[in-house]
Amino acid sequence: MLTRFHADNFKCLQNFTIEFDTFTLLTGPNGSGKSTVLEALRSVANLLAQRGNLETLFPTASLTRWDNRAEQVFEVDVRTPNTGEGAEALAGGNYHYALRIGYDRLRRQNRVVEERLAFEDKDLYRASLDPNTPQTSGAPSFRAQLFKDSGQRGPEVMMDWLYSGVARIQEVADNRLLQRFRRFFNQLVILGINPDSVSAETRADEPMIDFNGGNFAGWLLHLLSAEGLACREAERSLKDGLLPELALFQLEAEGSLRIAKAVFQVNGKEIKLRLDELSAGQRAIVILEHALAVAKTWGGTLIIDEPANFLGLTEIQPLLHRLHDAGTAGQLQAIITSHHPMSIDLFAEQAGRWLERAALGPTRCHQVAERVERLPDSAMPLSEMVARGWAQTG
Amino acid sequence: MSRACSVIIVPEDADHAAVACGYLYERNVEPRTYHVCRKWTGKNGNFDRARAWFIEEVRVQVRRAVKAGLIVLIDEDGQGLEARRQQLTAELSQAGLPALDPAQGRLLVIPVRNVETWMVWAARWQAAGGPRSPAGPLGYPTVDETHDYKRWLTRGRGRIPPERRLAPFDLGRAIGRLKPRAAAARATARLGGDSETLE
Repeated sequence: MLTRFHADNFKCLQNFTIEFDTFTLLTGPNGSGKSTVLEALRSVANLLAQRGNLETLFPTASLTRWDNRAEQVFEVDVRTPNTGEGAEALAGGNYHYALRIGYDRLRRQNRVVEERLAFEDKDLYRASLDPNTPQTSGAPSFRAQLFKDSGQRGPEVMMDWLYSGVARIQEVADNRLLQRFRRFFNQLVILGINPDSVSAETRADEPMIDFNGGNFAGWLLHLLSAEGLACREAERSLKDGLLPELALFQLEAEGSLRIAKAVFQVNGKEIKLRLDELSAGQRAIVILEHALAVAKTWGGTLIIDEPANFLGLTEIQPLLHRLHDAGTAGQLQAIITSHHPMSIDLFAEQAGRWLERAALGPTRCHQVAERVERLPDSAMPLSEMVARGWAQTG
Repeated sequence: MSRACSVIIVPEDADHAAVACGYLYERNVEPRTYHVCRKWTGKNGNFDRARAWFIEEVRVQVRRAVKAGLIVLIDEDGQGLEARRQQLTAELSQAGLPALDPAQGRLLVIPVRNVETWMVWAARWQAAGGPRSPAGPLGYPTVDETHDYKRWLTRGRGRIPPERRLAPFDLGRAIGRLKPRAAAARATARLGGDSETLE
């Protein structure tokens, strides 16, 4: 699970650190930086999962406006349990990953200046650019030092400075710790669902869902072959909840296209609806249920920006409880951002992080519990205090 | 800009809330500065719940470092103005809280009889052109102490009539449009009374 994230000089995140539990709620006023935290995390995750390079994931515009430094820093701490069995067994422990990106503001270029991955304080990968290397001359590459799982020094390799070296190291028998770290980011699901962008059509299998859920059909195609049990669990949950007549989801071929359809059984009759024929709320809950089931199967981390959006009031509390319960039961880690009063009243005091920022200043993170201590004991719900703007003024 | 509201409104029901909001709208009070609390449901019998919430509001405000204003709206309902006021004062005292003090920004609004009576009064008053004008246009009932306007508004036609949602019935905005003349304002402050005109 993700235990800590640090970002410096990324949009409103300036020397910003946040710690996560098995279930964490990020809340705070509009513009306080909640979505930016997810964006920074998503950029780092995509870099480590090879879903982009520095130019696409960290454009110069991502630098903090009021900060003149030409360097961004990210640090991620991940804790993993024991994994594998027999000869494949790997001990659990803590990973620490650090990435430093250097920028040339005038040329709008950037490159990896330093990248390091350690497990239980032992290096697995270490690379740093010679500060005297000219930005524009020579091949865009630098030398990285690899380490074996045993801690022994491994070979030195040349890496492209527009990519994460950790993401591109070839898999071999003695770098399984590094592979496990990479797998964590390959399986990190980060969602901010926009039902309008969800298409029922796909041409290809998609191993990861997009942030807005737009490629859900492609992801479903992948999941139906790779994670069939998780798909069945998602269908069961939908059947028990919002879609009681649902039988299953399937992808029907139409030429080179595959169309995602929900198959319903109504009075013994089979009715098929394309995914984009479902309502916005139904599409959102379909995606959420699949993400939840898959994250549980992987034992991974599920991050959702505003999970209550588009959902009817009857659906919100059950979903929040299932995320919370799965987190506390160790089936997955859930991190959500939410303004919804139910999420604030149910979880903010125990698992809440309060984000706030002064006008055009950096985002700061506090435990909601610290804020609650400063509020009077009252029968008044915490969300009421938040709605009045009294939580941030303390 | 972050919101930190400075006035809390505790209405007995939706009509009371509309009175407060209409008044604040007409007086150009920015909606970000006030917050309406209605955490209960139902059209009638909300006095106890409004009273309990009011006590809680005072408790929170007394304990908070930053104070906010408080407007509580409950009907007199034939109990008598003083009796209603006493009920709340006794509750505050029992809870160990200070008595209502306008200097603390805490205001208790008790429409005599019920707010529906005054909504009809507002409609008639606005149609006639001034608060002292007794006559109103056809279709608006007279306001007296024999009719049950709450019943008239809520059950008169077996359903909530659309009239109560129309502008003439917006008591809060009607009051908000009152502009005390300087002298009248002084007299009002000294004596109380209705020496105000509709602009």
